[in-house]
Amino acid sequence: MTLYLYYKLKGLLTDRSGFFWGIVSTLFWVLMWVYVFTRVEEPLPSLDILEEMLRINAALAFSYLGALSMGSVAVGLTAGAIASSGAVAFATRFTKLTPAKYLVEDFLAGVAAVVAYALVCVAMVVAATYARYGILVLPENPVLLVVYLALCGILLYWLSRTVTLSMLALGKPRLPLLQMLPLFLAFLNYATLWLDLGDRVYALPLAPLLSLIVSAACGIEPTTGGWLAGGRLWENLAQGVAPEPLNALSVPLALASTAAWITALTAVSLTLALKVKSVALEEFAPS
Amino acid sequence: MNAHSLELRVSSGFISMPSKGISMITVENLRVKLGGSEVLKGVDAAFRGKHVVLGPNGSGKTTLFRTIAGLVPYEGRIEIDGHPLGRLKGAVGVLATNIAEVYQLAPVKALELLNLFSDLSDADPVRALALLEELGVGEELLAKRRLWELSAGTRKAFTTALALAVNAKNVLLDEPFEQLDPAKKVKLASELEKYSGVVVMNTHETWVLEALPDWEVYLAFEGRLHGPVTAQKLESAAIVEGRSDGALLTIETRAGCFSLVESEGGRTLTDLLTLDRVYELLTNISIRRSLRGGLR
Repeated sequence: MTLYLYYKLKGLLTDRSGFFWGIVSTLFWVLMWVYVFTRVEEPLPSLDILEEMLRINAALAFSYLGALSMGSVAVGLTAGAIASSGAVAFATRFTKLTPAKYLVEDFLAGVAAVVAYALVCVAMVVAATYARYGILVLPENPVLLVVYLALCGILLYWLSRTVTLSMLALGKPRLPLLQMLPLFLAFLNYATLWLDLGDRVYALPLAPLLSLIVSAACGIEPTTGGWLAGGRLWENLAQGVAPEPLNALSVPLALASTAAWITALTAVSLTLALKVKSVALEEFAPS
Repeated sequence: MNAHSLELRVSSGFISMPSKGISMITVENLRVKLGGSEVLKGVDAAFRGKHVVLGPNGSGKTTLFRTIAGLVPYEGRIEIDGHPLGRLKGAVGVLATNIAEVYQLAPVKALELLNLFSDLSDADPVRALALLEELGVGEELLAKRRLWELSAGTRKAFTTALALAVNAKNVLLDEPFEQLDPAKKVKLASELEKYSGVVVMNTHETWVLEALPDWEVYLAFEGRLHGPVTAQKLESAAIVEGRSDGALLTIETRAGCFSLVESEGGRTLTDLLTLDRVYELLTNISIRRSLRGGLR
């Protein structure tokens, strides 16, 4: 290992645009979620029912707001990779940072940054919920939660790398719409809060993982989507009825889908990397 | 690490560099196209020892250095210490440069970048900081700002000091004197004179011919290199319009042809201060000739 891993991670965590999109904008969404969208009708239900409602509410926020945060960080990874393409080309030739070391260290730094920002989102949701209701809603299975967040990080890292290399291979380093693809994906997944995709959820990258995150954070069965459809979740919870998922998510299938996406994106990235060889291809952008 | 006792790792495995191996950079028929136009048009050069690539802005000097540093796709042949550029991987201490984009590896403060590159290139951070101090750049500033937050002059001093601190066998310095005051230019020139490896720098300022008389000079015009000629000879050479028998160099440009001839008197390159003025000179000659033709 070289110091690249440490400084790359530090750079990602202290970069101003990363801070804005990963922390400030996420804080805005967390406050909106907890103070505006969370509606517990008066009179408040009993404390144990309220705790259960808030735990599920927080778990949905960890997952779906966390996805927006992670998507923003992945966009930052794309921008950073394009900006440093020349530096990487030089460093891998003339420093100890060989291509293999770069690949490993950049991957670890990128995934760690995505997970770190997601954990900040988790902390913000816990703090905001406590500030409003005085109830601490900690994740039920924090280890599994971190594992699923790490899988999100790995998937988004390779998606970001695929986007970067595609832009470089196309000779078009400034394609804002393509660059924002990880964030668009996060918003698309956000829609599954209301929309049940059924078995099609396995074809959408990230979506099965987000459902697993909800399950790990609050202990309810994962679904294929539509958590908030028709307000049934809150009605049932307020009456003390455990939520019954309309379409249960298969955990093995969800993990297989994630593995397939990660493998495909990694393969495309490595193929494109061989094609562009990290050269700063922005030079080829049409003038 | 001593730059002359390095191991050079290439894609086919590890190749031990000879302890007193020849340091040199050679380019053959180098062609580079950027944005649809040909920026380098078949450059041939061998850099061994100390060299200046002297040329006006837009002549392809920086593109040549970026290409040798592996930042730009090219056609032709580039070899560094006898190894094709494409085969070099993890070759610590073989090449260093002050091209700023090379240092944009991570978005951290400049001082942290210095630590990072000291680790990656076995550079001597103490030497880099001492040189920066001499060039008027303090450690406190580097601890506060990222590379692109530094002024252009400070950024250039920073990357130049870092490139020299690597103690690489070959160093490419892109406009190292840019935005330095005269006293600091002298200090940097003295550092370059003392450097033990191959140094190739580019500039458009002609005072270097006087300051570095023993260096070999290539003149860069419109994507081609002409030379080499020693700086001492070029410094006193007169600029003559058109072709001239026995000229040190004859150069064709869009604005006309000129030769550099050894003679007493006449306008020299150092009189111009910067090579950008060659075009002005040739255009003036052309206008005067047209006017004379018109009067007849």
